[in-house]
Amino acid sequence: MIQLNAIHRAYRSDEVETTALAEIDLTVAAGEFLAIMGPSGCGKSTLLNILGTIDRPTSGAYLFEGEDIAKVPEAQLAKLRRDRLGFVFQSFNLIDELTIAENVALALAYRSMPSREKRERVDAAMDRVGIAHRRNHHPHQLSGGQQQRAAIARAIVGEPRLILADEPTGNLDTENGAQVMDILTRLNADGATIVMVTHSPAHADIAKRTVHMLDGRILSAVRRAA
Amino acid sequence: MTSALTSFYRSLIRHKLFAALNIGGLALGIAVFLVLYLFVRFETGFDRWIPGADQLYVIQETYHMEGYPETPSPYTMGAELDHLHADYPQLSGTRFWPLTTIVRQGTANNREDLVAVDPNYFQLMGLPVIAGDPSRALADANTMVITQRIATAYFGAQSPLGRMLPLVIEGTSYTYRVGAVIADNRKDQSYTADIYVPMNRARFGSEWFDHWGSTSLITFLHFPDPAAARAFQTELNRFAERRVFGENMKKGEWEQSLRPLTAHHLFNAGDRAVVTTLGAVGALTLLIAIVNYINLATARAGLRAREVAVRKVLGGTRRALVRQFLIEAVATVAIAALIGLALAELAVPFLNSLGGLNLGIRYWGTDSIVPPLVLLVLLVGGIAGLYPAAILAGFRPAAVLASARAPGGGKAGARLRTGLVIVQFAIAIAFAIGTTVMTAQANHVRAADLGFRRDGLYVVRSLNTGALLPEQKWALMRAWAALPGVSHLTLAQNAPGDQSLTNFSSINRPGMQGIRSPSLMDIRVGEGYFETFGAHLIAGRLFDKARPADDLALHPKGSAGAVNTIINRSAVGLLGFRSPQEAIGKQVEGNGTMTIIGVVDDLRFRGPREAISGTFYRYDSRPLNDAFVTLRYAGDPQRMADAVEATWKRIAPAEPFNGRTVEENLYKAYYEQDTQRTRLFTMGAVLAIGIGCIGLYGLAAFDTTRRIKEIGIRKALGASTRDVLQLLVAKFLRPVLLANLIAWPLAWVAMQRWLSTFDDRIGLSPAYFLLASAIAVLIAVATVIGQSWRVARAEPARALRYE
Repeated sequence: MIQLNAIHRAYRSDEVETTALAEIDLTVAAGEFLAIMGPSGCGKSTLLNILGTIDRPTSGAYLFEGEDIAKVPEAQLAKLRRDRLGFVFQSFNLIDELTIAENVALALAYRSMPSREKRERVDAAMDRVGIAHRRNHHPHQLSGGQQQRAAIARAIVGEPRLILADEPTGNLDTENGAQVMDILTRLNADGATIVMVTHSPAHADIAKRTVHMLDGRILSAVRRAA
Repeated sequence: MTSALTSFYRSLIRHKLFAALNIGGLALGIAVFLVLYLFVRFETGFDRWIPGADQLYVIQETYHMEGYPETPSPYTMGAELDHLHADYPQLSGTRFWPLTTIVRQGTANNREDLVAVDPNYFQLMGLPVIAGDPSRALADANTMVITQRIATAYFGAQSPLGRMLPLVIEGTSYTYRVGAVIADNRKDQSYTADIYVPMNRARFGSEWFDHWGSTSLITFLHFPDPAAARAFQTELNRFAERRVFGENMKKGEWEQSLRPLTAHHLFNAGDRAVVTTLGAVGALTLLIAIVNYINLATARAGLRAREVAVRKVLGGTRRALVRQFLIEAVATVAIAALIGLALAELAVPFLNSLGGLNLGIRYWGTDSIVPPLVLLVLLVGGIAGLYPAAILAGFRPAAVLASARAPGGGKAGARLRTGLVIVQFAIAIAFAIGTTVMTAQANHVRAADLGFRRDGLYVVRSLNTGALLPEQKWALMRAWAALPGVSHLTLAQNAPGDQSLTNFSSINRPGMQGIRSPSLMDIRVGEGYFETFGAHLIAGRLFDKARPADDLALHPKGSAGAVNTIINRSAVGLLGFRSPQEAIGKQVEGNGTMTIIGVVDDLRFRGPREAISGTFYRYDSRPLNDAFVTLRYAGDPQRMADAVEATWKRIAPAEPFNGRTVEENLYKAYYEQDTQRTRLFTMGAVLAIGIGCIGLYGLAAFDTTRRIKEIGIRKALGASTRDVLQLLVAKFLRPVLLANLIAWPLAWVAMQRWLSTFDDRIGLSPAYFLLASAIAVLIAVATVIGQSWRVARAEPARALRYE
C-alpha cells in the first residue's frame, strides 16, 4: 500500500539545518497494523506526517497505492486525505467551538454526499466508539478518553483505507488507553491499515509489526506472527 | 514606569505588523481628523477674529413674491442708514459700498477692489492697522485707507503715508491721498477691499441711492449684545411701516431683518451642511481609527494573555497590569498623533492649493494645535487602553495557562470585535456611497444640458465698468466680429456665470384674474443674443432688429404701444399659459405693455444649485451699460483669448481687460467650491475606508494566527486551500454585509438632503448604493484573503506543530 524510498526531511531555520529523517525506507502492506517506537525527537511524528501527506519530504520517493505523492499537487492531496486517510492525534485536536457530532462530521464536510447519509455515517461512527450519548457536548466537557474516542470516530467516519495515529494513548490513563487500543484492533480486524506512533511497549505489542527509530533512522523491525 | 515602557518597546518590536497597523491606522485617522478640524475651524472662524465683529449685524432684505427667490440678500439701498438715524438718533451703524475702480499709475491701469465707507467704519470693524489712523483719515473727503498690498504695489518700500494715487471710480477720475495703511485681507474675512475712501453720496450716488428696493451697498448696525439686536428687529418692522411701505414696496412682499456678521459666511444652509458634513467625516474617520485600535489591542491582548497570566502568578497586581496597558496605549496613541501631525503638515499645503483654502497648523498662541492634540491623545489612549487593560487584567491565570488555544477575550470579546467591525464598515460604506453619489452629481453637472453649448464661448467682462465710450464699445464689437473663427457675438446684461444687474419685475396678464402676478427676471439683450448661445426656440420667433416693435430703444419710458418680448420656458407656467404656443401674441403688463413673440428653452446661466427664474428678454439696440460681450467661436481657445485681448488693448488701451472662456467663468462662479469640497470629502472617505481595511487586515491576521491549528486540523481532514479561505472570508464577510444594512438608510437620508441643495440634480438610484457596497465588500474580501492566503496554503503539519 505504502512504499517509502530514501525519504529525507530536513528543517532549515536561519542558520542551522536539522535533519529529522534520514534515508528512510519503509513498506506498509494493506491490512497491516504497524507501530513506530522511539525516544522523543527521533522523527516518529515527522514520518507519520509525511505518510499523512500533511508534510512533504525534502527528497526521496513516496508511493501511495502506486502513486508518487511528490508529483501530486496540493489540491489533489487534500482530496486524497479526505477520501483515503484518517488521523488520530495525541492531543485529540478537536475544535472547541464545535460539538462532538459536528467535529466528527467535519471529516465529511468537504465531501459531496447527501446530508442524510452524512448524518447516518456520523451516528454509526460515534456508536462504534461508544460516544453517541455525548453528541451535543463540546470537547472541553468530555474526559480525555472520551475526547480521543471522538477523535477516532472522526478519523474513521470517512471509511479511510489508512489510519494514522500519533500517540493516541499518550494523554490517557491506563483504562482509557486500553479502550482506545481495543477500538484500533477492531478497526484493523475489519480491514483498515493502521500506522501508530507510541511510547508504550505494551501498546506496540498489540500491533502486528513494530519499527524502532533513533535520530531519524529506522533501527530494526520486529514482526510478530499474525 | 520604566519597566512598562521597556515592555512596551519590546512588544512593538516583536509584533511589527500589529504595531504598524495599530499606529499607522491611528496616525492616518488623526491626520484626517486634524485636517478636517482645521477646515471646520477655518470655515466657522470667519470674521470672528476681527475685534468688534461680534457686535455687527448686516441688514438683509427678503422678498416674498412668486417667482422671486426667497433667499435673504445682504444689500440695502444707499440712504437707509440716514433714514434710520433720523428715527433712532442713538443707533450706531456704518456702510460698505463696493465701487468699480481703476488705479492709474503711469501707463499701468489696474482694477482694484475699492469701497466707500462711513468714517466710523474702522471704529466698528477693528481691522489691524499698520500705519496712520484710519478713522482720522476718512474724516477728510480726499483721503483714503489702503492695505499693505496696495502700499507695496504702488509705493514700493517708501512710506506710503501722504502719497497721492489717481483713481477712476465709476468712470470719473479723482486723486486720493493715503491717510492710513491696514493689514492685508485675510481669507477668513467676509467683507474685503484694498482701498477705502470716505462715503460720498454726491460723488458716487445715483438716483437709486435713496430708492427703496434698490440694493447698492451693505449696511451694518452695531449693537452691544444679541438681546439689543433682537429687540431692534421689531423696530425695523415698525420703521418699514412708517417709512418704506407704499406704492412701490408692499407690506407682506418685502421685509428686513438682521444677520450677525459672524454668521454671514455660513449663512447659506448648503454651506453649513457642507461644513457639518466634513466635520462629521473627520470625527467619524477618527472614530474608525479608534475602533481599529481597540479591536487590534484587545485581539493582541489575547495573544499576550500568557504573559499576563505568568505576571499574575508571579504576584503582579491587577492595578499594576492596568497601569502598564494604559501607559502602552497612551504611548502608542502619542506616537500615532505625532505621525498624524506630520502627515497633516504634509497634506495642508497640498489641500490649500487644491481647495483654495488657507489652513495652517499653529503650535503657539490662542489657536494652538497642542492642547487639543494632547487632549486627543489622553482621551483616545484612555478609551483605547482601558478596555484591553480590563480584559487582560481580568483573565484567570489558571484557565489561560491550561488552555491550548490562545484566548481572544472570550465570546464577549469576539462579539465586541464583530460589533466594532460592523460600526466601522457601516461608516466606511456610507462614505463610499456618499463619494459615489457626489461624483455622479459632479459628472452630471459637468455634462448637463444648460440650454446652450458651453464650449466655444468667450466672455468679455471688462465692458461692465461704465468707463468705455459708446463709440469704443461699437468699435470693439465690430473688431471682434471680424476676428477669424468668430461666428456670433452679443452684448447683453448677462452671460453664463455673470450678471451685473438682477432686476425682477412683477408681470400681470390683463383681464386674467386669480393668478398672482409673478416676478420675472428682466434681462436686456443686444443683437444676436439667442443665436450666440444657440438657445432652442420653442415657439414663435427670435428678435429681428429690422422690426421697430422689437426694439426697446424705440420705446422710451412712458411711450405708447407695446414692445415685443421673448420669455423662457419657466415663465410660461408662471404666467398661467398652458403651452408655449398659447403665449405667443399675448400681451402682458409690467414695465410697460409687452407682446410675447417667442418662447425659448431655459438657459442656465447660474449654478446648478439655483432654480432657473422665469425670465423675459427685451431687445435693445443701444450700447447697454453694465453689460457683457459673449463671443461664439470655433478653433483654439487660447488663440481666441489672445486675439480678443489684443483687440481690446488696441481700441481701449486705458482700460484693464478682463475676459475668460464661459467654461472657466461658470467654474469660478459656481462649480469651484463644490469641486473643492467634493475633493475634501473624497479624501476623507477614501482614507476612512483605507483605515477600516487596515483594521480588518489586522483582525484577519489575528484571527488567522489564532486559528492556525484549527486550519491544520481541517486540512488534515481533507479541506482544500479554497475551503479554508472560504471559511475565513465568510467569518469577516458577515459583519461587512451587516454594515451595509446600517449604511444604506444613513447614506440615503444624508445624500437626499445633500442633493436637495441642487436645483439641477440626479435621482438617488440604488445603483450608487450597490456599486459602493460592492467595492467595499470586494476590498474587504481582498484584505482578508491577502492575510489568510499564506496560512491557508501552508502545509498542515506546520500548523499542527504550532503552539
